[in-house]
Amino acid sequence: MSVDSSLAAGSAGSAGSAGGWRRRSENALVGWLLLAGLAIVGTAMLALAATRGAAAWPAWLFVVLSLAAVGAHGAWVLRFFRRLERRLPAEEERFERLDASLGATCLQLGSGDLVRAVAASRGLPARVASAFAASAEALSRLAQQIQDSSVEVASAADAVNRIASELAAGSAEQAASVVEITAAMEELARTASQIAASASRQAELATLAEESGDSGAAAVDEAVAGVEEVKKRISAIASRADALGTRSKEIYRVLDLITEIAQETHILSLNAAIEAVAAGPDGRRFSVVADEVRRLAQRSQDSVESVRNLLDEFAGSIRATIVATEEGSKEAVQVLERSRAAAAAIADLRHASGDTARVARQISLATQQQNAASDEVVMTLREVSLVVQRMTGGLKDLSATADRLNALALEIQLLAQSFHLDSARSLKHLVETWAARADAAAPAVRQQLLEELVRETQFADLAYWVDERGYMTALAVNPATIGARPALELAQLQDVDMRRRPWFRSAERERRTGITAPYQSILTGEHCFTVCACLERPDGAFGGVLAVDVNVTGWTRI
Amino acid sequence: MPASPPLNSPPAAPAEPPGRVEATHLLVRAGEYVCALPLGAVRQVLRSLPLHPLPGSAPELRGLAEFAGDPLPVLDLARLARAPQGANPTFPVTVVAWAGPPGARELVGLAADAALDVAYLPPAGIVPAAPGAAGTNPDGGLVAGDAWVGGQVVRVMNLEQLGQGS
Amino acid sequence: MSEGFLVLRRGGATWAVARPAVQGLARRGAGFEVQLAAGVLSADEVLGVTADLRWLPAGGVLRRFWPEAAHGLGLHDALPVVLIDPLAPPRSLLAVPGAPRKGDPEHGD
Repeated sequence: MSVDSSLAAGSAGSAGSAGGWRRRSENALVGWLLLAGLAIVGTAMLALAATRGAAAWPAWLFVVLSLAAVGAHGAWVLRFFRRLERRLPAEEERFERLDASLGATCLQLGSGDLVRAVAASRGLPARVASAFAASAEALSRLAQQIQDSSVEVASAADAVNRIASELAAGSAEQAASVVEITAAMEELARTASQIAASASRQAELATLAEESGDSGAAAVDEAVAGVEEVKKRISAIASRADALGTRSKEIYRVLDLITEIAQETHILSLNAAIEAVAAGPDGRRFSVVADEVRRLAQRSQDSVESVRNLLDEFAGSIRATIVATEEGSKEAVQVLERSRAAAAAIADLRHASGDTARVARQISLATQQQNAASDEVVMTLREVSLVVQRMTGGLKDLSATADRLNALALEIQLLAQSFHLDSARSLKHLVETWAARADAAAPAVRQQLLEELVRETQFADLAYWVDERGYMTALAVNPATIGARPALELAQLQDVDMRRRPWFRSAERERRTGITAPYQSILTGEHCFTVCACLERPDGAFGGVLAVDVNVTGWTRI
Repeated sequence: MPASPPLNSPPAAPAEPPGRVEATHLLVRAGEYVCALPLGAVRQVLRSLPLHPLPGSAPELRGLAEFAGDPLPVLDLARLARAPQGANPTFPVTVVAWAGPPGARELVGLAADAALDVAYLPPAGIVPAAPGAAGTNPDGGLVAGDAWVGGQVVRVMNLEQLGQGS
Repeated sequence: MSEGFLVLRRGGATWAVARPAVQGLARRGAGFEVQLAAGVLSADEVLGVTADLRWLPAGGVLRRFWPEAAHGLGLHDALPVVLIDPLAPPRSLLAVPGAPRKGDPEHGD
């Protein structure tokens, strides 16, 4: 067991030296134990031999040899541990260096700064540094995968949200349609009820009409009989009127004869007067007679005229009576025909009423069935409406879940971004790079540089340089993300003290690049988070902060 | 002894003055006029005689008839009196009268619509017919004048002018 | 006029002409034609020849209202008859143009 001289080359990080020392120590310990065991065995054998009276010289030989072995081994062990003692300070120094490196590495690793952690791990043994670098690389890849996954989760959440919104819109439309259909069905049900009521009334009315038809038919039959009787009587009257007319014609003929006689008498009287005049004085008395005859003829004529007038009136009345009876007879015939037609119509009406009543009852029954079906449909639609409402609620929950998922993805992204990776997708790395470039640039061009850097991104809203006093000295606005909002001017913010801002205080305190939790920006009014890189002066003093605001709606473009 | 007049009859006619006979006229209806014919010139009043038109005659000559075994020219009194056409007569008559100047009288028939009465037309009551243009008589002298009888105007005919040329 | 008168009808009136004045009588279609010295008369009907016809001279009234020349008026079987002047027969009695003239073989005597 010798102390391996490779302890002096421990800085090379030989993985076998530690193991070698351990083996040697173990061997030494094992050797001591074997020798101790041998000594004990020898002693035991010696004791046994003494007790049994056997020769003790083997035992004594064994004991001596054992003791010699123990002594030799002891000398070796002593040499081993002296050499070990000589190497111990160097190892202690190396250990301290390793401890410091490891501490720094772990500190950076603990703060998520893998870049600095890898840099710090270079002070560790090669294998350790290599292993750490590999681990950091793996962790970086994991972080990036987490970022990618968070972006995918956010995209999926957005997609879910979009789908949920579309489904919610569709559900809303469906709900509205269901409401409309329900209202229409209820209206249909009301209409069906009204139709059923009307049909019932129609059936009742048709039944009444049927009964009325029976009464009407009987009445029509009586009317027909009455009209026929009237027709007979009118015929009788007409016959009598005809007879009277014939008699009046005879009377007219008599009157004509009398008139003619009166005319002849009149002429005779005139001729008598003529003869009387021709007779001269002797014809005077004859002239008187002629005058009398003439007057008689005139009176006859007047009487005939009177009688004729009376007869004309009588004949007029007879004619009127005949005309009236003829018209009455025609009217009676028409009434008879109309009565028969009415009887036929009533019979048809009765049949129609019967059919109407039957149909009305069928309609009533059908509408009642329709009513029941409508009620079932309304019930079903209400259930559908409830389902739609539940689905809408579910979609709202889904949307809320998607929002939470989105928020969770942002948290995960921020969590992943909490690692400082050597990647363009690492916000800390990006902002520290910007800070280094801007710090290296002259203050006069810092503004322009920041504007160029901001416009190159699709997710940064603002980038602003705040000095150690907390005052903004440069402000870059990304027109692509800020859009049509009122432009922010540096002049408006130069006098605003940022020292109390959480991100400023965190950067000033921890002297490392940090990412805030999402908050509402007082500059833009939007929800954003800020990546702020701490600036250090050459003397190590705090030199200010470069802050970059990232809108929470655009973080997936990182 | 003359027969007593019947009851309700007018009193017996007084003694006729010598001119009353000539003033007595037969009233007949011709168209819408009432014409007066001197009763002394009237031979007889008959029911309208059957007429036989004479081709080529004037419209006033309605035709020829037979009266008492003699031919009788029958004139249309309404045309002679220039009377407007009246209603269809119910009892037309033919008045057979002496026409023409006193020395050349002939019997003619005058077709009238009705024989009305015998009336006394004093000459003073007859308004002579007004002469036409250039002094001629538009009626050919057949209308002696107009008289007022029983509330209506009567055309008094002059039969003496009948046989003379127009 | 002892030889009588030919009585005929034409235009609804009855006419008579002295028999000696008649030169010929012929049937023409449905009627007759009477040949006179002054012309040919057309008759619808010939009633016959009457030996005796009582007639009166035409008066002023007839002359006034019938411009044709006539000897007088008479009666034949209660029908008024106009006795025409054979030398100046009424135009209404004259036959239509184209009637056969004297010497026509259709004339009978």
